[in-house]
Amino acid sequence: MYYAAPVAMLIDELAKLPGIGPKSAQRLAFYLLKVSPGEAGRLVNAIVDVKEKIGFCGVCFNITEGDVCELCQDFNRDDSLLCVVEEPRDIIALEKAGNFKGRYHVLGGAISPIEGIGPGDLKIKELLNRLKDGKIKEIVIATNPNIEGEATAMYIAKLVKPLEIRVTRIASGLPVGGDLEYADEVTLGKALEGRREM
Amino acid sequence: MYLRNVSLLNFRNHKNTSLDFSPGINLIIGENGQGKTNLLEAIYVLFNGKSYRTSLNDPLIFLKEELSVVRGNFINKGKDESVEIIFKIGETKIIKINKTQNQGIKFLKRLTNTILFSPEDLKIVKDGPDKRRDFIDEVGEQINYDYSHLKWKFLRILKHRNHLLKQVFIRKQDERTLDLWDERLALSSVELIRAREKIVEKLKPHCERIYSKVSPIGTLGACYLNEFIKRDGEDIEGEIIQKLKEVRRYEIERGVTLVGPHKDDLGLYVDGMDVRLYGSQGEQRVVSLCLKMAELELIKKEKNRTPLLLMDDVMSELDEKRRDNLSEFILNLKQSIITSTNLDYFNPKYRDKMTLIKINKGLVEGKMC
Repeated sequence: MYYAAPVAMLIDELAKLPGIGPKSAQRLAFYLLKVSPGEAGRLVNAIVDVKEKIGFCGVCFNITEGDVCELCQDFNRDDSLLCVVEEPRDIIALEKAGNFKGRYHVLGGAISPIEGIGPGDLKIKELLNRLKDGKIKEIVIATNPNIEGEATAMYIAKLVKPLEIRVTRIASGLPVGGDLEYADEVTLGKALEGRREM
Repeated sequence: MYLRNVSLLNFRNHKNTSLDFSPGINLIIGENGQGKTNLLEAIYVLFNGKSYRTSLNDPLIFLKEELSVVRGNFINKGKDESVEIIFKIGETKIIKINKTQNQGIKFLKRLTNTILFSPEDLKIVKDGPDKRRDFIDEVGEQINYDYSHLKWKFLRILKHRNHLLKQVFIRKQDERTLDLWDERLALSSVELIRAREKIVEKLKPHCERIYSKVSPIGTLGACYLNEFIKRDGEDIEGEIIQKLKEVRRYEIERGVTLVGPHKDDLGLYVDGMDVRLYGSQGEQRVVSLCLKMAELELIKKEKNRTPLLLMDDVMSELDEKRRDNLSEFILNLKQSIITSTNLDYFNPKYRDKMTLIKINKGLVEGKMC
C-alpha cells in the first residue's frame, strides 16, 4: 500500500468518474490534499447540493430543481412540437443553438443490448403517454447518429407513426464552417445522401 | 511511390540495419533465420502502422532493448517524404510522417498501398471461410475508405443482436425487441453483401487474367457466396428478415445470429473444380498468389497508383514454369521487394534486372546490381 487508507479511498472514488483514469485520479487527490479546508468544503457542499436539490422533471425527465423543469413551464414554447433526446446534456446543446422552440423529452439513454439497455429501461412509455392528448403534431428524434441512437430512433418512429403524428429525424452531415477536405468519408457520404435541391 | 531506403534500429534481429532499394525488383537473399522476413515485416509496418505477425510491441524490439525504430524515405508524387515509427515496451507506438507526430494509421495508409504475400496466405484458400472473408475485407478497405465503416457497423449490430438473444433467453428482455435488431441487421447485411459482391466482381477479371499468365492450363473463377444473392428476388433485406424469423427459436437457444454476411464465403474454382476442397497444395498456393496479385492490380486500377509488393519466400513452392511466369509478372510492376533462400529460383535472364541484397545474421552483407 503506497497511500494512507483515506487517500487511497479518495483516489478510488475519483477514478470512478468518467474520463478519469488512475493517474488523473491520483493527481486530483494530491491537489485536493493541498487545498484549504474551505475550498474542499465548497466542493463537498456543491456535490451534496446537487444530489439533494436536483431531480428529474416529471414531464420531460430533464434535470430540474423543482418538480417540473423551466423548459416545461415556459409558456412561450410551441406545444405541438416535441424533440426527443438521449440525455439532459443534449437539451443544453440544443438550447445553446437556440433555434428549437418546442418541448423536449429525455429518454435517459439509447437502446443498447451490449450494455443491457432495452426499450423498457428508457422513458419511452412516458413519451407515448405525452402523445395521448393529441396536442403534439410532430416529434423530432434527436438521438445520436450512431448505431444505438439510430436503433432507438427507428424503434420510436415505429411506435409513434400509427398515432398519425409526424415523425422527423435530425439530419447528419457536414459541420458548418468546416472544410470539405477535412471531413471524414462517412460524414461526407451522409452529406451527399442528404443533399437538397437548390 | 518508390521506397528509397529503410533503416531499422533494434527491430527484431536487426540491431542496426540500413539499406537502399532500387525502383524495380529488389531480391533479398539469405539463409533461414537471417532476418529476411523481419526486413519485409519492417517495411510492411512502415506503411500500415502495425505488423501482420503480431499486435504487440514487445516482439518487435530486439531482446533486452527498450525501443525499436523503423524509418523509411520514399518519393511520393515527385516529393521526398519520410515515415518513422517508434515502438517502446509497454507504451503506444509513435508514428511520425514527414517528422510530424500525432498522425494516425489512417494517414499512413493513405500514403501508399502495400501488398504482402507470405507463406501464411495459403490459408486464404485452404482454411475456413473467415480467412476468405478477411481477404475480401482487406481488399475493400484498400480500395474504398468507407468499407471499414460498413464492416464495423455490421459487426457492432451483430454484437448487439447476439447480446439481445442471450438476454431474451434468460427472459431479461422481451422477444419482440428482436424485431428492431432484425431490421437493423438486415439493412446493414445488405450493405455489406452488396459491397463485397462488388469487390469480388471487380477482382474476378484480374484473377482470371493473372491465373492464365502464371498457370499454363486451366481458368480460375471466383464468386461471392451468400445464400440470398443467388435467389432471384430483389428484396434481399426482406428475405433476410424472413429467414431470421424462421430461425429465431434456434438463435435464442444458442445465443448467436445464424443469418448474415458473417457466414459468407468466397468460392474459388479452377475449371469448375472447387479449389478450397479439392485443390492440391501447389494449386492452392498458386490460387492464393493470384488472389493477392489480383488485389494489387485492382488497387492499381482503382487508386491509380501501383502498390509496393512485398513477397516472402514464394518461389520455393512453385515449379520452374510458374516461377518464370511470376518473375515476368513482377518485372512489369513498379517496385517490389522479394525474399528468397536461393538465387537459383530466378531464371538468369531475369536476374540482371534485379537488385540483389545479401543478408546474414541481421546484417546486410553486400549489394550487387
